[in-house]
Amino acid sequence: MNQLGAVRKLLVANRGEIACRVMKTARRLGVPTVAVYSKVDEMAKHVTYADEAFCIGSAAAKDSYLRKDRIIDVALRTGATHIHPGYGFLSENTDFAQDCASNGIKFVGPPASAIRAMGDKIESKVIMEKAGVPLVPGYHGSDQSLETLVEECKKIGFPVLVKAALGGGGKGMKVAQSEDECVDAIQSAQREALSSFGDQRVLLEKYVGQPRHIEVQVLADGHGNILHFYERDCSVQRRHQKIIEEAPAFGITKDFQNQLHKAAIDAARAVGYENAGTVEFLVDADTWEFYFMEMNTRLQVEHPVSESVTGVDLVELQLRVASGEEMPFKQKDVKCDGHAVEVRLYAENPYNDFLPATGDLLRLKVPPETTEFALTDKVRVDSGVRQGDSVTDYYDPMIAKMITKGKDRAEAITSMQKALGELQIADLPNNVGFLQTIMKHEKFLEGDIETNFIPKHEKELFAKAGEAERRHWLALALALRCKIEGASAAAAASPWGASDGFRGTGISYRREIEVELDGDDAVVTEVEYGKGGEVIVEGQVANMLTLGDSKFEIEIDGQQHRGDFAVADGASGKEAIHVFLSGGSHFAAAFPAVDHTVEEDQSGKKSITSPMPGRVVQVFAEDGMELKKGDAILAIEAMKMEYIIRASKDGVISGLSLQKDTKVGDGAVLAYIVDPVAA
Amino acid sequence: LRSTHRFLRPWSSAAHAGFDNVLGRCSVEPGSGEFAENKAVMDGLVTRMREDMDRIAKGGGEDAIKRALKRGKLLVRDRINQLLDPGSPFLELSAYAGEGLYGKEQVPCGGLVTGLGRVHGRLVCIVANDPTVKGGTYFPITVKKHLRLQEIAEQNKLPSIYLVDSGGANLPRQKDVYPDRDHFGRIFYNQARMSSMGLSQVACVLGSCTAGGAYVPCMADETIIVKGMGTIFLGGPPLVKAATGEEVDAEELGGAEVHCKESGVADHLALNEKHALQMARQVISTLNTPSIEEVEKSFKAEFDEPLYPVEELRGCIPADSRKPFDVRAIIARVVDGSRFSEFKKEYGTTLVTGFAEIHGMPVGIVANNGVLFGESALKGAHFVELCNQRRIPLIFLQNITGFMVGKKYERGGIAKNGAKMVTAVSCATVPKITLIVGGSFGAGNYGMCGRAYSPRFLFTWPNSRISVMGGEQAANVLATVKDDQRKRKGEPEWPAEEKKKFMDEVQSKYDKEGEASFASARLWDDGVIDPKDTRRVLSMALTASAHEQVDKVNQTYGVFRM
Repeated sequence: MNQLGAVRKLLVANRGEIACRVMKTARRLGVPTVAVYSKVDEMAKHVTYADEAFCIGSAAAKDSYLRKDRIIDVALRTGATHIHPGYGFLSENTDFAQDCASNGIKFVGPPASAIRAMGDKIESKVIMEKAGVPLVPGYHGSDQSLETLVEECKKIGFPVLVKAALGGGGKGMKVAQSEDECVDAIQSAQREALSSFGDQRVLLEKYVGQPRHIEVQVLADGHGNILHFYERDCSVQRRHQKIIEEAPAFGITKDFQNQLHKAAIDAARAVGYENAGTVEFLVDADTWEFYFMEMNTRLQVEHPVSESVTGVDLVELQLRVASGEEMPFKQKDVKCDGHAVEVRLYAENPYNDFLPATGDLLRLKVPPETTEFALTDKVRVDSGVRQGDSVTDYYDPMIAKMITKGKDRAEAITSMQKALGELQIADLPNNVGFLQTIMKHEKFLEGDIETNFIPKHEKELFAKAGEAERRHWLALALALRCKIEGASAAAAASPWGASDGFRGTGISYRREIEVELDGDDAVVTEVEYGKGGEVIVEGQVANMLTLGDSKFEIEIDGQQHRGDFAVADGASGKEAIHVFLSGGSHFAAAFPAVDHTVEEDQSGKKSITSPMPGRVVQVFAEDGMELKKGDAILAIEAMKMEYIIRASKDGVISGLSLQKDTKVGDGAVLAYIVDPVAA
Repeated sequence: LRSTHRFLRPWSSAAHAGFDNVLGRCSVEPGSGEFAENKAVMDGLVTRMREDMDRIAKGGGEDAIKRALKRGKLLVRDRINQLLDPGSPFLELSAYAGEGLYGKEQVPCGGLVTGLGRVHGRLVCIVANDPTVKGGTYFPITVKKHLRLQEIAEQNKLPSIYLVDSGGANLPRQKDVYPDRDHFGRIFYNQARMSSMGLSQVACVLGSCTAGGAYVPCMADETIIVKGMGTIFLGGPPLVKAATGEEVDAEELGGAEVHCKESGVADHLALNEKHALQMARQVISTLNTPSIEEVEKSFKAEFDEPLYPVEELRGCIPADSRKPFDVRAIIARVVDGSRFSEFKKEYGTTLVTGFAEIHGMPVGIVANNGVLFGESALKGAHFVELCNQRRIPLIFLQNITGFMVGKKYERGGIAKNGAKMVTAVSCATVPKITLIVGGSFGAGNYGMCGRAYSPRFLFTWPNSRISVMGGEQAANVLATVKDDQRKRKGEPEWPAEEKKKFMDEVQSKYDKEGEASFASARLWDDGVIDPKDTRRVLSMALTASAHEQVDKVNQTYGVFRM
């Protein structure tokens, strides 16, 4: 039964978890839903959540999820009265909001004018200034004389950030801590600005030393009501992207909180806001001053933490407001209860500059007490993918969001620590381990966080597991691998099929296995199959107690471990075992296929010889050049045929002095390839 | 009951349920004192064997191992491990070979590791020299062991891989290894003949192959040689210098580059040992021969494990060999689902015969349950004929003191009846596998398919004893003979003390020579196994035997009822 009179059918112009999440609420309210999808998303999770689904183009977002015309066409054809844009894609696209309106479709979001106003950085500042919302004090006037600049610095108050007007990438950016440093900083910035950008103009801004990112969730109806739903702290960021969000912000006074809320509501009112939005502030944790940064005119990724503490389904409110209803409650009815934490689970490699990763989700197992897309006191996981799905490089590499709640921050974090330990993701590089490290970091637990939290604590956060633990993991991974091999072959029933290293004599079986532990370089490890069925790795005795399809119990040097495992069959040429220990530690061991054809030359130097007598017709490489195995070095002509001589291994080429048309004899040394280190 | 699936097949072993052929515990109660006593003795024997094996596995000793490792060589078993499919089993044969044969000279494992293993899913015979043992030179037992593995390869139609690293014949012992029919030359004779039968032979030259040794890779179908390690020449640098005065180093004389690029003696140039072994695996993968999986396709898809744990086999056999026990206790712990369809159960009861399955493979079992009488021998002959006619492999479980002696039995024609059994066993062409679980004495050894009857494989338990008769009997017989001599010569009566000493000496000599390790050192068998591995080893041997396609019944007559 449709509870929303005006929303007869809802099209969700998005994919992944947000599309699923919106459709889940729509379904609860009895509103039929329409999904749109790109060709690669034909089997995607969000497609299965909708009543109807339409393909709108190929994989690239610009050909599908960003095709306003096609999306509106689908809406018109299916009779969708409303379009929810989710976040990203077209959610803050003024033209799209406009096109919806002109086609008689209600855009679930603010009016185009509000999007436009907040989208323009200068215009928004002007509006905010008028509305009395605090802005970062600064100067961007045309008078660039040193005296004026120094004066402006004094007005702003130190420290001051001096930035090149055309700057970027930190170039031409200086901090003046005090008046003494001011002239130097300005001149230095000007010099850099001139040399880097050919323009020595600079602008000045208040330098916030310990910035916290705090944002306020607001929602406005078409009847003049604007409510806030408390604030969120999103300070922990990597590469300027939030990864941990909490509600409410902790360690702030009631008064400060009220100021923030008021500023947010003022900001929204100033642009004639309607529907859900977020006003973001930069908070100086040293001075407790806050400054307007920007307003996000859409529902945000981290909205679940606000839902969690307020008990309000924000999507439902969005739809009600878009349906023309008045907000069903007043500000005083919106209570903040407890504390919620959200982590964003990404397919990425935290140890390699957070580079996004792609691949198959061999395993996606959420903690046992999990609810999806709904308010809960347990664990909420919002994911747009299922086990077996792939994470491609077409879209955002977020696998899921996980939200926990507690009566206070400590409880919410404890619950998150547990949930992260129970979460199982394979066979994709992901940030679960990294998030675990943060969740256990002393400063994080104390709440001593700011936007530079990750770079500031780099050393601890990116530290790998200790030597002893890794040694233990190695034994565990190898024992597991050997036992899995043995078990799977035993099921083949052939006495010769078993991979248990059976030796009738009892002479122990040793084998070398190459392992890459948690993405490290491969190491060759000797594994010995003991007589009692145990596996010995680097002197550690591993006894498998039980081994199931995905569970194991093992004893290593008297210490027992339990956990789950997943075996990836190595589409990338590497078999891997992902281990999820019941204590919460996760690691992966990959086993690359071994190639013995690489010559083990002690000197690391290998000669490249001519396979026949001939004449050099072309030289591709230069002496000292670094080559990959297979790269062309030179071409020799013999018997009217041209032969390309290629590098037989990776390395640096040395002793290459041949010229075109030089004659070479059979077996003549043409050059050498030297290991880069040796070189 | 744990069922195991080999391949998906429409029928299941459940169809067999209901037949009254499931064996009970057969008086072996794991909780009983007798069991514990038996097991304790067997555990001790197994432990001793394991200790022996650990010592034997060290080959030529710590120093030799260190030298080999320093030269960048892999140890012989690591070479084999590297050659085989990862984690796959290896049925090593005759590890006791050479044990105590040459006085002070130790030749662990006969200086040669042999066995069967899996390479790219195919079963292959492996012969690998151990260069840490006397430079890999061939002692008489080395030759015998090499020939034995060739025999296994030939009988079971298996390809072979030779991991060659040998200085050739052991020169001080040339008279015992060089000229006779079953000496060194026979190895090459076999290589040629086996090749003509389509049995592929691959040689991997991992070290020196001098003189006679050079012919192993040269006679092989395909040869791999390791650069900087492997050499092949008829005469090494010292001999060349002596013969012609030419001075040349080994690499120049017969190194890998020479043979792969100039002489063509070797076919594949390997960059290092592991590369060579990888190449050998590659060669095997190109053979047009059936994989183990294909061979096993003719067997049942599903089968049950025995009802009682195989570990109990260590407590089955009485510590006191004179104590009778029911051999069905062993059968019950070896065959699928402990199901045994007995043949002629009420006749000639000291021999137990019947049909069973091991790992889904049908077998006929002939097992001793006491001394052989005429009837038992007739029953044995009848059953062996049946199995041969039905093309069912035979398994002999030997625990035999011999044929019954005495007036009544001689008059009953026991010699003639025993001969029938020996004839049936000799002429049966189905695979025969023998396991000595206790005694193997007298003509019992013959009737029960001893070494002379060419079983495909012959294994023994560590408690087994093999000799023409028991030590006690031999002491008595010899003492009686000597006593008679003294009497004839009119010498004074033999003092009881002296007689006892004489008898003790005979008995201890027999006891020592009857030991499993003594027999195995001489290759009277293919190896001593832990009783708990019995099912595994028998099934491995059966699968190996199944590589020879025997479909034709070759009996001139039908089955004679006996």
